[in-house]
Amino acid sequence: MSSPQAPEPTDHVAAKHAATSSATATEATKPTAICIRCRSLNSWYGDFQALHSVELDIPENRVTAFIGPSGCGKSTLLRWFNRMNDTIPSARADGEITLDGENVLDPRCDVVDLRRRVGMVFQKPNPFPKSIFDNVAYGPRLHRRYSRNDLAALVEQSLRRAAIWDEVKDRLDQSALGLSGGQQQRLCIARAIAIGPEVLLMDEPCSALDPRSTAAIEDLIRNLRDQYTIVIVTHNMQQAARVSDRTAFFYNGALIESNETDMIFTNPGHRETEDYVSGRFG
Amino acid sequence: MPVDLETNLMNLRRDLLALGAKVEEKLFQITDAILNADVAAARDVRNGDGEIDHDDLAIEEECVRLLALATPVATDLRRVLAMMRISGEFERIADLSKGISKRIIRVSSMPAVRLPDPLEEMCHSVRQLFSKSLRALADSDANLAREIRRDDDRLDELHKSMLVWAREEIPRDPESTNAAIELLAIAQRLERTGDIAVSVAGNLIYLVEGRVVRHGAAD
Repeated sequence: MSSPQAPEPTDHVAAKHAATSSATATEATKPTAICIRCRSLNSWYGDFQALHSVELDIPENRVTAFIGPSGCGKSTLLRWFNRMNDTIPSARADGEITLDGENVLDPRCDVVDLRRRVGMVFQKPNPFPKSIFDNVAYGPRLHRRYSRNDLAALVEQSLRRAAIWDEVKDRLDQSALGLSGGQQQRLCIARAIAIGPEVLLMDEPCSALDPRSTAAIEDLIRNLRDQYTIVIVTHNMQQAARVSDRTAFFYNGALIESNETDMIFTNPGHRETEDYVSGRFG
Repeated sequence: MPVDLETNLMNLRRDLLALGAKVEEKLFQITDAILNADVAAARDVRNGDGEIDHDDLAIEEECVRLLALATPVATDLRRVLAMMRISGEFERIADLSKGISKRIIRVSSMPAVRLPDPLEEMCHSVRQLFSKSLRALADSDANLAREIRRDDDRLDELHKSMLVWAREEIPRDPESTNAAIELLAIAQRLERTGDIAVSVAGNLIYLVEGRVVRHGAAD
């Protein structure tokens, strides 16, 4: 189990028709466009290689879960999708990550625009010390000028999509820091939605939440999948099984297997995946 | 009781094999009763399936408990699901044996009829089939399980031969009509027992390989 020289990963969306049982094929085999495509992706922190030759397709308007033990590279990969790793001086990558055909690793890529298109929700809710309204309005105001009415409509729409509007509509001017953890996380999702992204990246979005708030976020993820491509990193196997359409398993920086979530949790193609999802290591 | 999934699954397997052995014993008893027209043995089978029902329920309860508390996935999930199904299938075979015992008791009060050759062969054939399915289960042998699926064809042929026998026997000796009908019903239950042994084999293939082969699914 120690070698990062992974077996041939059994990706991809192209293979799913063969891999999916006919009983569950109705939705799974709908032709799906690819939103993010990783090719020969390697990544390093200084001398340490964190990702090895990752080849992965992320389908559009589906939820893809990244699973694997700590240090396997799943968050590193997620953070390359919107170049969050640029903030780490020793981080570098080669290969390609294309978003709608454009290589996001290209130095000429407009990172501000990229982060508008690829929103991110972090492990710990991180609302700004501002009002609920201003938290959601902050991003849109940076990108363009809105009339008061348009901005209010956008904030309301974002809060509704994040399934928190009914809970906060009467206290939009109050501090976001007064919300519960689960509400703060949904507010952060509303904030990410407000700038009109195509992709939502979620890095363990429920790990700091209680079961009820976790259930609310999971409901929200299921509801958002029709409008956004969602990639979620999670250590919670059951959460991956509940919310995702596809699951990618990483180990020692290598993509071991990527397939329909049903297959990963009932009949995985690799022993390493089997052992990990069964809780035998990691 | 806390869950140690691996240990619990091993215990579950042990209990399932023990149940299988009990059902095999019943099947041998009832087929002996057919071959020897042994009414006393048939009565024993009729009166003694409470223990099997109890064991089947205990296995099902344990499977439900493991599903709820250990949320098994992948091979572990298939093991739980397959064992729960197989336990139910064993119980149905015991029920069929009980049904046969009632027919044997009824036939004993009717004018004597010679045991038809196809029925005699069905008795031996169904024993082999079931014993093989138990062996495949004990060894987790998917290839042996596939053999069982093929062996069942012979049992189906013998069942059809019984229909031919009845069509000839009843006009030849109308007084044997009631007994012939009972023997046909016994043959039908033996044929059904073979089908269930095939289903056990199908569940075993699912357990070992994750491949669903029931209901004519391609293997």
